[in-house]
Amino acid sequence: MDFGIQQIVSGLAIGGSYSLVALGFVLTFGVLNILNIAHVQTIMIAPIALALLIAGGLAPGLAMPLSLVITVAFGGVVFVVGLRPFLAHFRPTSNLASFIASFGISLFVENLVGAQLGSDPRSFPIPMPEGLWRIGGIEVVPIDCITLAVVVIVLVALALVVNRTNFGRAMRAVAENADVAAAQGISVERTILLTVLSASLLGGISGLLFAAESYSESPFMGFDYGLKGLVAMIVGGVTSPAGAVLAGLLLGLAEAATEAYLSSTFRDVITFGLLFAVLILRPQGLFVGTTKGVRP
Amino acid sequence: MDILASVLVPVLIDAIAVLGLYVISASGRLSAGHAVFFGIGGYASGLVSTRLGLPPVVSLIAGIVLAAVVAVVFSLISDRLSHWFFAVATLAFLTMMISLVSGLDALGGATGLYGIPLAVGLKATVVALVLAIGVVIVFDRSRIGRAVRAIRDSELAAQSLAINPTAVRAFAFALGAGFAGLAGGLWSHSIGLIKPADMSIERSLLYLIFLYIGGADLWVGALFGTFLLSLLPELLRFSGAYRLVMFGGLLTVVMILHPAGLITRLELDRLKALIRPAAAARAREVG
Repeated sequence: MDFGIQQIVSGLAIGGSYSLVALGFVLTFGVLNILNIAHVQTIMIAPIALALLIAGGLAPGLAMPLSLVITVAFGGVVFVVGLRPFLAHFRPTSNLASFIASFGISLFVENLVGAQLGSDPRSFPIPMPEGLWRIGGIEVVPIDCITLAVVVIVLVALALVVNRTNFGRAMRAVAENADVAAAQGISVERTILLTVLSASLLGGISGLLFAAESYSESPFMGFDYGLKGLVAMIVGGVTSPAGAVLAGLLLGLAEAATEAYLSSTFRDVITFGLLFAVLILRPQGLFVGTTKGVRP
Repeated sequence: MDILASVLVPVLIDAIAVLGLYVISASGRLSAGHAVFFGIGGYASGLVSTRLGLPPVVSLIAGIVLAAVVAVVFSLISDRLSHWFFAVATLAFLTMMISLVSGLDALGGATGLYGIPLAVGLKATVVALVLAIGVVIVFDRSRIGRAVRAIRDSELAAQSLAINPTAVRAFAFALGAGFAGLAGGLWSHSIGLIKPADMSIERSLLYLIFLYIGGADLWVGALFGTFLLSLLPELLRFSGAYRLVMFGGLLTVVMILHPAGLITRLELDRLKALIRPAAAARAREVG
């Protein structure tokens, strides 16, 4: 397999999906100051819910938005039950406890789903268009094209929400300084909840894209993809949304190149290789200015 | 191996690895990929005894040393990451090592390394665990052990006392990884093989669960968590699929209600008061 335009598109598609995961982490980390590992399970909930809904007889056009609604509800429940208790008595020591608890939630959810539905991978419930599409003289795999389009739409929508709406302004204010934001009349609680729900939506969309791309889904898929998203978050500089997007794309391209030139066995190796290289050469993150590159 | 040994040996081995995690956690770090050092120790030990034909004691030491050396390098590279992102880096390192080892034919690929001499039984594991506990007790009371905790509590204050955070953290990480390396070596010598699946994310997370439910402040907590959570499901005949559901839920509940874990200094003092009321009362008076 050579590294042509098809592989680049495919790498960008997967990488774009990593970007969505990383963005979910960056947004929640910004307002919560908690790294919520349980967020990786939103990647799994959406395609699993979709499969169940379609098996229940729903049309794909209805099942897809409904599966995202379920994912968002899931994210909200996880936050209220598992993470909100840590906000009430916010101390530096309970920081680590919240992080460990989010691991616990993540394990609880994926193993519960696995025990209930069987842990074997299943195929994505919606058939994908076959063959190749020709767009402007280049042949591309249809799902890569769809994924890339979805990623671009989501990113534009997110940029508009964050930069142009009151919610977006509130989110940035809370991320900057929650106390000052509260003094300006912003409801910190509500902003945090809405941010967590938005992040869950991003996770759910990326989950559907991952499942459609690989044409398979399993109760244990969340962690694998989620870890890539986390690596993209660190490589991008932890607090920078733009950095997370670029790092996700870079990661996707690097993986596609590794698959093309070496073998798919070394695909996970490149993820860590990239993280390692960035940590040594540019510890503040790839796409963060050096002046404000202080790691939290 | 009789029934008792076949149940106890893996638990004792896990206890050694969890003690290692306890040492790392004393430096304020959290290793979510601790099984990687278990795997390094297991593979190094297996390779040294099968390829070079050296006795188990030598191969176990080789496993400890290699795990510690890798840990030092990893620690120095990741030193700027604060605890959450350090944990993520350890996880990423683990997944990389799993795919790397699975892809290397020299290490037996996905099926693993076979024919490792069966040299470790119940007696050897008990001896190893007692040694490990001894090292932890010495560590806790030593100058460097206090330096490790000083770094955790306040890096700035520790630096003002001429403690080098980078070096101290690397030391704690290497010591903890050495424990995991020993555990891995014992494991490969007790069942005769080591495979990539032995260094799984699941194993890493189980170690985290054992430590933080048991209590990460005292080594007794680490042991308590390991024994409680390993033996309880056996006794209750808990179905395998729901074991991790239970553990995950339990971890969350413990972290919310009692983030220090089940065994803390307070619980230990109460226990002492129950056993020897007079001595405890005297200790309280002295303060």
